[in-house]
Amino acid sequence: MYAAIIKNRLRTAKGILRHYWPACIGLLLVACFISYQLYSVVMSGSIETALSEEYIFYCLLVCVALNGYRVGLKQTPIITMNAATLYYLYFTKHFKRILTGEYFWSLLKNILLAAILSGLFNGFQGHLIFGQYFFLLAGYLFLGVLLSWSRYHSTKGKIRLAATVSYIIASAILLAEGGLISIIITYCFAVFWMYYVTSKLRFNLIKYSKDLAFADKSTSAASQFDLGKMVQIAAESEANKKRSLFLYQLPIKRSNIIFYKCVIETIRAGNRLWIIFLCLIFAGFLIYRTSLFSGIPILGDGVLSGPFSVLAVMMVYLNIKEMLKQQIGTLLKKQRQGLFLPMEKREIVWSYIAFAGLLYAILTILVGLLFGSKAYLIFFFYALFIATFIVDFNIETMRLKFKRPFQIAIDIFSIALGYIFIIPD
Amino acid sequence: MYLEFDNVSFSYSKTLALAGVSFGIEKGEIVGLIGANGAGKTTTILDIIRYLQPQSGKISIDGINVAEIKNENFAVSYIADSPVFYDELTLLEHLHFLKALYPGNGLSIEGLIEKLELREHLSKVPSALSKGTKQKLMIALALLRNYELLIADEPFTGLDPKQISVFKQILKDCKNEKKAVLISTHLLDMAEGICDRYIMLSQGRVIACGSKSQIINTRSLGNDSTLEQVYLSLIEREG
Repeated sequence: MYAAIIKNRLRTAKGILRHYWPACIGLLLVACFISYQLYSVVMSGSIETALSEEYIFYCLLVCVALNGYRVGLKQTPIITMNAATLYYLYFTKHFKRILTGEYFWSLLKNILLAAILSGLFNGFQGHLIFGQYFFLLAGYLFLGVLLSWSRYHSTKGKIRLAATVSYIIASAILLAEGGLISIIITYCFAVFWMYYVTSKLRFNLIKYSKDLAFADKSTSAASQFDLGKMVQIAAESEANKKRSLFLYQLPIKRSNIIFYKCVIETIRAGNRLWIIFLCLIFAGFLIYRTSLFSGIPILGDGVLSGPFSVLAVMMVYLNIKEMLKQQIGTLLKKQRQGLFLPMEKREIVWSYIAFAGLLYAILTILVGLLFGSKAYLIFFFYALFIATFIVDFNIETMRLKFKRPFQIAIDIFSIALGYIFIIPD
Repeated sequence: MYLEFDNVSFSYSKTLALAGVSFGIEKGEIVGLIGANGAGKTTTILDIIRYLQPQSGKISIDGINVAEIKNENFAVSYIADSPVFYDELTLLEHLHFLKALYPGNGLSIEGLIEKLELREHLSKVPSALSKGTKQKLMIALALLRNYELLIADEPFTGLDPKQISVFKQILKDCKNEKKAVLISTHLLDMAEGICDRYIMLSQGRVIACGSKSQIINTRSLGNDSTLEQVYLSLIEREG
């Protein structure tokens, strides 16, 4: 039976690899590239070079963010198994063994991550610092798993609160001290939560089986490359997605309803999209303002790094513009189809422009601060960009036959505006 | 006449959809738009809501050409045959969205939720709703507008018998409030129960217009004929 469970996992993995090997190779290449950059710039080309205090702190911050995601944001179970395993074996003695196996597997993965990180911290030399960080990070990362698992199954507010408090204390001490006290406190928490998980935790069976069934369906569709099913699953998942902010919670009235609809629509575009946008901006910053890419051709070239950096940042600006154009296009189309709005097109367009003005103001301040641009240049860029946006948006909503060439010209001009961010002092 | 169709013609490239159609609707009456598939019912409605523009003739509401009415003053509410929603808004958000746009409408959101039994679907987005619930949401949104003319294209589709009865009552209430109602439907027995007059279309032309008894008398049909029999015999005569 155990062999069958493992065989099923391997077959699914094989199916995914068979259909997605180009993507896997791509990811591997990206990982190799980043590792090489870190190796050559941060570790000065030697694996035995210990990381500086500053970089160690950044790595610890990443660990805190990872555990923060697990404890506070992750909606799916951190320990997973096949839905059929849960269905057929839950009331048998085998289930406890399988679950214990899953705990060990999770622990092993976190130990491995802790070993790599602590190795990097001291240049893979087996002295005290390695041992200290290895024990600390292994305990801290596995604590994140236990807290996430407890929070997932818990319906009681006090357990959720206790998990959050444990995470905050352990994280704060990790960042502030990172030594013996941190190890002791982290392991106290880990032992307590391990005891809770193994002895007191009451399984939220309905929620868990539902999530596992959904995960199985998605994985199976992905491994069989069943595009129709994948689209259906994505639509189902979108429809059932939990939403935290609602239109009726905002101070809506006739004059601002389109503005707030736009806010809701933009928020619901999805976290992934905003994470990609932030990554692009951050990549632009890294290319131009740091020496991280200095060792490689093109991106590391002093002359070319500027244009690449501008292009990465302006891609975000242009993609937001396209998203807003799509939104207003749909709104106007639906107005004609019967979802009448008691207002003229001009009023709708200006509601969108008001929202875009606010969104771009926040974005421009962020980019300007990141690039260290002067305040008057940030303002100059913003004024010019918004002016081009207004022209482009009005062209978009007009019934013109040849609007595309004008819009392409505006996009090129907008990208060129990005150079304002990198004008030298 | 509140709504007036005056010699309206429309064609989709080479296919003639409406050929000189004329009719009128008064406030306080429910009019059924009857016709086979392709008779021109939906084209008629799309011309009224300004989705299409007639190539000749004039459509006016309260004496004003529909093309010249500002959106703010366009007192028409429409229940489309294929529901149109904002994909990203939940059912409850749709209701609040419309309420914010038409604050003067006296209907309460709570009242509509109860009346149309929408409570258990409030947090769902349109793609997660069943066909019947989508139809109920379309009806709710139509009622939340400020309108004098309600147009419904196949409004009974997907509704259960209880909801059909609720919707019929809503139409009667509209009539009592002196609003004009235009219903396009294939379900002639449904139409017969609530409509005061009928406009029968065939191949883009009006073949009969008036109450059932008027049509029977002018066309010398049997007095006890059902609406279906009247319609079928007219179609047969038109050949």
